[in-house]
Amino acid sequence: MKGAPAQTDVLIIGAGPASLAAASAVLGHNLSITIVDEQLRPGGQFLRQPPRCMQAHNWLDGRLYRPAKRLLQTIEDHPDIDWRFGTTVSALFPDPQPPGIGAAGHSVWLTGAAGMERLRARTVLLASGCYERPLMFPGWTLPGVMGAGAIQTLLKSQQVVSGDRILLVGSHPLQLIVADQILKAGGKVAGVVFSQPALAGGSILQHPGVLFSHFLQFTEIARVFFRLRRAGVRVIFGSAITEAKGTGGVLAATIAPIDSMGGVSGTGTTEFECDAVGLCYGFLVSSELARQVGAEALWSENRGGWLVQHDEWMESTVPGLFVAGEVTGMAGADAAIVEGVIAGMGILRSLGNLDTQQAELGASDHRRQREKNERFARCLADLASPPHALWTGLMAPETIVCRCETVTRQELDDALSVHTHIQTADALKLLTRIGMGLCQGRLCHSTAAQVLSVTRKTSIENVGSFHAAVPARPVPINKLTNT
Amino acid sequence: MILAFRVEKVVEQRRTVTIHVNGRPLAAFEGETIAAAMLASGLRIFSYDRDGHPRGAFCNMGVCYECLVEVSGPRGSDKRRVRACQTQVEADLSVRMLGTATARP
Ligand code: FES
Repeated sequence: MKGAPAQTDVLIIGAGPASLAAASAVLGHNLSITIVDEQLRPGGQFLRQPPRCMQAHNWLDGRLYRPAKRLLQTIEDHPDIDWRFGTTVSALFPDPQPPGIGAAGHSVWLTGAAGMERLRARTVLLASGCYERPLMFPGWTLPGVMGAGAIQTLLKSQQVVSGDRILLVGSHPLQLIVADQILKAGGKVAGVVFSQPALAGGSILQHPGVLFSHFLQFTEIARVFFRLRRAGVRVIFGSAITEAKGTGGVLAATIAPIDSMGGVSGTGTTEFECDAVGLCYGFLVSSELARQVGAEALWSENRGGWLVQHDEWMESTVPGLFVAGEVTGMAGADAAIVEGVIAGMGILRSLGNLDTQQAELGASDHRRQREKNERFARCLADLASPPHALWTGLMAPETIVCRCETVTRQELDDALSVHTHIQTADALKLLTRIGMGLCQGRLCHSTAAQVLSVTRKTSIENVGSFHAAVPARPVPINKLTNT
Repeated sequence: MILAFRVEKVVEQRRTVTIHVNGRPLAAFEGETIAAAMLASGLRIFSYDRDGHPRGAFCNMGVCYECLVEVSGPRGSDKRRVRACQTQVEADLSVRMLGTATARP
């Protein structure tokens, strides 16, 4: 890398709904804004766009997408934003001498097609979203078993239906939306399997306030549900996937009834013929970069794992590092937009572009909305999560937990029974190599921690997370050496 | 069984691009990722793990690295490992799958 590092007033990591809302909130204040995202176009996973040469005229025409799509239309290609697509943030660290005044300052290492680059930022907004939380069971590493989100983004951004007969299994209502999108695209849905008993959805009636404030979401899900039923799709409740079978890829899956504690009963299993399986058991938030710089994160079983803590301006415990969207707790795109605006006000306030009173004015409506969103999200998180025991209860000894390093459940159990002093996720990692591979533990960290906490009869908080290491993503050696 | 397929009817006319996967030509469309092009051609296996078991794309968003493949340009130039789900096809791109179907000793 040559010359002095570039500088920016506001660095936004991620280009999903929270980021776009924050960017539009800080635009017009004469600040330089840089947005970094791994994808090639803005929108995040929620509005994952096809490349420009592949415009599909029916792209995300559902009602739930409208507010976020409007936001995307107003800001995509905005000339006052320095867009960095196809770019990964490899590391984030505090900048002891930040550019400009009145800011805490951070430096980042960006890795893009042209190599690595350092960028100094007066403020940073981390809105890096989330990814599928994998449920591990025999056969889950077979090709064709994917996150439901993968099936959905292949459709949204590539117009590819992932299989001839797709089975969706999970606990999150998103799988109904994915099933509906598959049907609309001309695909076949083998079934939609929920871990909850059928009546669980009815318990939402105990929260009339939530039902009222988020009526659109509920009616949309209900409409989709009945559309699937009309199309003859089997929707099964109180069951979970116990095995995916096939050679060279999944060809069938076994579904078994489970009890409310997540225990599997061996009888009454159903076999589904399918060449793709979408897992939809919830999400993990991408809080690695925040944890890398020491921002406080607390474990939440049902809201996405290690959630970044923040104050009323969405500023984390690390000054100058703001957060918005799923990294603060799974709540969906509309909630992410609201948090993005509040974070934008917080950033303007911390940079001195607005005084506290002005910022309060800009944030107050959104704060009220945020409270409603939080109530909805908490309610949904509890309804949409499988029983805890399911996360660790379905694996066979030879089931792979860490895909990257091919570490099995048996290897974890052996290590834990031989080395009785192992109490933390990091110690387990050193011993077994779990979490040391290319995905850096993103897929296995929660399951590894759960196995450890169940075995040692202690909490996830005590077990801790894998240390969030630098670089946050693997960097090709040739790119490291030309810096 | 036809496996994954393209939703042709909604997409504007597209230019085709030929890539090579493990030495065999594979027709793809401009703007597709390597992963989408492979899946739509019935190729679900992206690599084999150390025990010789097949692996495929899992997240399609750059997180899991299960779609890692080796790519190179004309005559083996510019060889590198990329995530197939994050990399668009280009004319004359060669893709090689990592690992083999037999277990490592
Ligand atoms: S499928 Fe997960 S990184 Fe490509």
